[in-house]
Amino acid sequence: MNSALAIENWGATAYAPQVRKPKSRTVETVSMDAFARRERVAYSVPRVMQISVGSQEIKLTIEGSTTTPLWFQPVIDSMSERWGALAGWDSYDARPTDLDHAIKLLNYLSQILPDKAVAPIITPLADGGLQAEWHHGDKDIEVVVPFGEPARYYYFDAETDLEEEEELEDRHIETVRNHINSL
Amino acid sequence: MAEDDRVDDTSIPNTDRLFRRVPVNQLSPNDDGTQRPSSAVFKHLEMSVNIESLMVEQGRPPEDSLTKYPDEYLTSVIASDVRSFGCYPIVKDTKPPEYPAHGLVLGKKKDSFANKMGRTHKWIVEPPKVSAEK
Repeated sequence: MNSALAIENWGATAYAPQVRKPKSRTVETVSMDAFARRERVAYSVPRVMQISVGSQEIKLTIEGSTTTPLWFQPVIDSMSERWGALAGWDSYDARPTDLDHAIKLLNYLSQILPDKAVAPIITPLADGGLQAEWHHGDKDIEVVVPFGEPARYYYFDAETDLEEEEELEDRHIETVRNHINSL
Repeated sequence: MAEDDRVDDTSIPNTDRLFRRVPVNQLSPNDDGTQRPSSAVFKHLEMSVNIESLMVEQGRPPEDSLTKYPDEYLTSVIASDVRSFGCYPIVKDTKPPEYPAHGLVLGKKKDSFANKMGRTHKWIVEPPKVSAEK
């Protein structure tokens, strides 16, 4: 099952193409510690939360769902811990990680991942984009959101030598989900 | 934007190792707790490296690449592995005097290239193991 999440910039500009405006909303500020609790939180109405990611704020809307997906907090933690804050963060000439691209990646993950999916690790790209990656056994999977380019996905299974590398379009969502479920 | 007309420098031997620093936030854990460089390390449009044969000429060990960056790790890929893709020229770029063995792997990298580099790389200075968890 997928929770319906929508993630936006907490500022004025929203960047989530699949955001559906909730009919009603409850706004509350949630600290990272509150999300870190292992307990599942039940919601009966759409909720809007403010979450810190790499010293910036994003807005999380949960609707049509009773729980926060298990992958969400580990992804936020990974994103925050690995955020490329300053230009040159890779000791070469990397651009700072871009919040709007982080939000774009989170929205792709909310489309793709079942609630109980294995959480990916989030890695910043030198161009200011980010990627989610899973490496388990013989399989490598990536959802890549490069700066200023269409998102992509990558899949490789060393056992079968099957390799896929495509722009991430709606028709690929189920394929990527199946790859992740096979981990 | 002008097209990049730089071509592969064949004076760089196929057997040369190309050294690349890896920051902590671009490490990815393996199932056994060892860490690999994320493919993101190898996706830079102009990927900076140090070229082994130039470092040898200069009497510098590979680890010299980390002198100013003690918190980072150092990996290597083989020039022939890069060239096997046929579209990523390796060039010398030694104009900055502080980087006399500097080179570039040019071109917009495919994910398949970056992941292959991540699978075939060899650590020179390896990061510590992390606790393995799924």
